[in-house]
Amino acid sequence: MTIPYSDVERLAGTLVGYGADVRVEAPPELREVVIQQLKEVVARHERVIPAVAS
Amino acid sequence: MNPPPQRAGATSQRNSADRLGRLLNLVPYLLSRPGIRVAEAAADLNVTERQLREDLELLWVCGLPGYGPGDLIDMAFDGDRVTITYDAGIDRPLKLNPDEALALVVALRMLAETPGTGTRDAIERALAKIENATGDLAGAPVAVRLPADAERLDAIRAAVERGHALHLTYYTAARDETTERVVDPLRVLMVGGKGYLEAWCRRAEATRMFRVDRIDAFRELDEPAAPPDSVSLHDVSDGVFQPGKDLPLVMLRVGRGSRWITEYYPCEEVRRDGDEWLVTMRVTDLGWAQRLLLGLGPDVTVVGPIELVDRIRAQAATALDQYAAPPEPVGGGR
Repeated sequence: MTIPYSDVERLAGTLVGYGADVRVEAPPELREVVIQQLKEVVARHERVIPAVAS
Repeated sequence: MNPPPQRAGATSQRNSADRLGRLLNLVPYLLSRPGIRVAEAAADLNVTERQLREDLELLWVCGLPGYGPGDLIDMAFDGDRVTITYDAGIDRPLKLNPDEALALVVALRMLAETPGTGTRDAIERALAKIENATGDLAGAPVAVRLPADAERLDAIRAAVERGHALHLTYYTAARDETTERVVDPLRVLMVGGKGYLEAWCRRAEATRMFRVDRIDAFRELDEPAAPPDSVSLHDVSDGVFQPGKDLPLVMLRVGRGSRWITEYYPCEEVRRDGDEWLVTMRVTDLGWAQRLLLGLGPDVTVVGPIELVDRIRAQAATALDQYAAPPEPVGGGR
């Protein structure tokens, strides 16, 4: 489907919310922002092994 | 007649409020019926003759400041008939000041827009009179927002009043799914500008609040509504969603761009931590939280529970996998 937009960042945020149910085909700049945001979400939720207190 | 029993404080307070209302009504009533029999007036006003005579005696000492002759209400008794001979200006038309009139107009407009109000005609007539009398206010820039689903709300309320069970097609936002269920309605209510149907859900076997704007369709069944005797209505004075202590606790690190969620959703705790906020909230459903939080993007990090952290990471990773392959040529695919 094709949707009009004005703000790449905002639309990207909305699309990221749909997870794997949405895939951006075009335009490339929106695709890039979505990929970037998804990568950041993954990175921020990486399990950090807590340092063991000795 | 027996003397009235000793009254408790609250009762006597209510009685004086009742009595004041009665007295205020009494003057215009008597003014329009000079020489009426006390017994007839008592029957009309639904009080005993003795009570009415007591009221009249009290009225005699009511009036305008100064409280001398000529300031107080006066009346003439002729056997068992009574006539008010001086009303101390109580028939003077009420003159509202602009603030009072505006408050009334707003309240009445709100009432007129509230779906299912039975006396809409009377409200609109009263509104027209006030707006006429106050002139300037008729065009007051006051908008009363009415729920977009007013018609549906009216239809559901009517069905509830007929006391039938309803078949609902309902969208559950928390799980992003549409379900079919049969419910026994308890009541329809407005909370925070939204219409809700509170009903016993036979599927969940519990009382549920259904947002009227999420009811995709409903059908009135022939069978009567039969909620179990034990059901109790929710106390909605603090809003519809009241997180119980048994709901999962979610802890988040929230950036400035998403701080609105702390005002939009009930939070247990919001603590500033540098440029971010540490937010704790209870959610009914981790699936709902997952969708909300993923949609907020990198501006929100889930701290706990670890299950939600894993789910969000996994979902984002799955979404990312789709981009491993190069995009299909535009116009080539579906």
